[in-house]
Amino acid sequence: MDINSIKITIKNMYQFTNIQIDALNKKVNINGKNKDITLEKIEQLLGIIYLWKNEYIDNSKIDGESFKIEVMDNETVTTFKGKNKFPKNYNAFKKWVGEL
Amino acid sequence: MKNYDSEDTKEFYQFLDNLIRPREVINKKIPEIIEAFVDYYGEEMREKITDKFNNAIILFHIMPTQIKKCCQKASDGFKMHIYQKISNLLGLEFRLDPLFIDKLDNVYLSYLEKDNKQMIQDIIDLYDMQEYDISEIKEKISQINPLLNDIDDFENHVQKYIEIMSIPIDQINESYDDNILDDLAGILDIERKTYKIYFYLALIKQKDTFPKPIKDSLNKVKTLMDKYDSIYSSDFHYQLNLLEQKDLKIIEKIFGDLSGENDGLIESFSSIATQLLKDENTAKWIKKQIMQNRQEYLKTLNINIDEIDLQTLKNILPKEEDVDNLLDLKDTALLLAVKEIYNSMELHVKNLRDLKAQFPVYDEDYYALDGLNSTYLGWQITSVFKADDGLKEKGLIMIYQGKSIKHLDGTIIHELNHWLETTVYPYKEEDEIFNGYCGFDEMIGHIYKGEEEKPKLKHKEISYEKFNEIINEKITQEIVQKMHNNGIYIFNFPNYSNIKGSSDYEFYNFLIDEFYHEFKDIIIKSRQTGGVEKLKQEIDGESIEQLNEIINQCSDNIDALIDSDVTDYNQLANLLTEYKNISNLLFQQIKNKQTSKHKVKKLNNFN
Repeated sequence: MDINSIKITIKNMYQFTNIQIDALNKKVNINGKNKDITLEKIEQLLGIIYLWKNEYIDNSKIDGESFKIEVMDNETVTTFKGKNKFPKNYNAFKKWVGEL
Repeated sequence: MKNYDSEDTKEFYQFLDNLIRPREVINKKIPEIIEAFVDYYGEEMREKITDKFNNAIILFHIMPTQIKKCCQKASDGFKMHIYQKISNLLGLEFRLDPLFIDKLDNVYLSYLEKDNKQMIQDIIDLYDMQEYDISEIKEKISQINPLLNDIDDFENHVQKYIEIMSIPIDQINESYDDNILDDLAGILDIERKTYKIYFYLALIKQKDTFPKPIKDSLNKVKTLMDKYDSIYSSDFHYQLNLLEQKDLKIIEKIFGDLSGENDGLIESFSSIATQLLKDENTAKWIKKQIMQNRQEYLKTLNINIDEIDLQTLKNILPKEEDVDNLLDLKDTALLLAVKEIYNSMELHVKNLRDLKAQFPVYDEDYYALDGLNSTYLGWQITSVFKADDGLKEKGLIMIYQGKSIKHLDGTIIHELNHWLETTVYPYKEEDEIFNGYCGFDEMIGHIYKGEEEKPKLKHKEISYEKFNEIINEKITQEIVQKMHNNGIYIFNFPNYSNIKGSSDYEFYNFLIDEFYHEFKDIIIKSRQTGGVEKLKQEIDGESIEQLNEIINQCSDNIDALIDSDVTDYNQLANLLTEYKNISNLLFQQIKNKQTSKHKVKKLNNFN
């Protein structure tokens, strides 16, 4: 796998979710709790987000939810972020997070 | 509704009934809500409050699954309420710990099984190591039984709602309680079925453009559909499920899952994917993913590229334009499905009618899209909608129930206060974007002109969002407290209402409490008359920026810790102390600068 690490944050007024994936060592930290993660699971995430735009922002809405995903390989950091606007398969992403 | 002896029980039933007709409840309560806001802000604000709330519409974007969750929560809440009463009757302290609740559950089960002897034993268990009087317990059974009967009644009542919302349209029959059918007219659970139907219809429309394996699978679906008069019948869906498990795996793999949540392998041939492949700045992993998906597409269709020539391959590969059209069709199908669900639910029909009366250009598509998005947006949101129709901008307040129904009143007031504090700056006819502020937060939006392409919005780098929300929540809780003290409730009632604890925002009160109390009048005024820029004029701008920075930094560092499953409390305590000290220093700095400012002003006036 070419990915080194992935950082995910999801914020809404009720909860903050912070996920840090160490792809090289197949470890994930979810809100402070460490566990193992399979390459398959990481690839599943990449398959969900790979065609996302870098930014989805709607500043005409207050409250709601914001997210940020940073994917780091050897050369680049690809960032996807959003606030109250989401890619159409965002539910698939939330489901993936829930299954972690 | 049944007549109940107990006032509490009556209130819970009313609460449940209100949950499924939120529009009626809100509309009825608006005059009282206006009075509550006027009571808080003062008579001089009456005109603005009334005008604002007359230009707002509160939508409850509820799907049947949400209502089910609400019913379950209400049922659990009612049970705990009765358990508390039973504990009090027995002279025991009611505790929410699982062991104690388990023991109460045992009492309830024994009651349902009409096992009096076991019930007495279960009650004795509640006393644990404490002393009890067996004759007193036996005497109290006659008071406990009716309370347990109330739980049973309530659960049966709730269960009927949940059942109604789970059955297909064609299976509702006369055996269901007429009253409940009337109450829930139109609320039916057709989510799963509707998405699938439209998805398949969209694909079948284009089936001749697909390679043979896909076309063959779609023909099987069409053949099945043709056999039924109604494609909503449960038998059709049963047969469709069987077909999917046997013959239609290829559809899901190629086109994505049937809820429309992901687009499958075919999206790797879209124009977006092709553009990313051509762009040298695209990350390697993205290019790799696109190529992998393309190869997997060919493999799924049993196409071996080593065995065919380039021209044949070119003919087999999906064309960019066709793929883009298909993905658009899928989006349309999803939208149609959501619209159909909303049109079948009385709640949403009323929502949309009210919306269109106030915002003529706001159509079904927007409503459906907002509904789709609000499954992602958390539980509540305030949105400004501005169309190019000469009418004032409007506030859309979208609320889901289910997360915290004990805080429902607070939820509504929180959003209404956001709307009250929203000001849109004047704009010209040719403008495409509107700007404004909501409290201390910036607001930017598109002016709806009916076009697809929207101009890109420029956002400020420094966010005052968290600062804004903390203050808004403080104000909200004060309004709700006053409102409830005056006997005004929207959905909640005295025995089922919480004011504090609705969000993480109040966690950060420690950073701004002193600042808020010292400068409350200036804070509240500036949120209505200029936002954070006004606040910076009234109170030293540099200090406000520093305070905002502290709030953002604190939030970034601490949010993860407070929601962590393994909080390092020492680390958290140290960080909190550090930030508290910094905010104290800042507060002193602000106070000193304000004092100097007043002294200078006095001197200038004197001179």
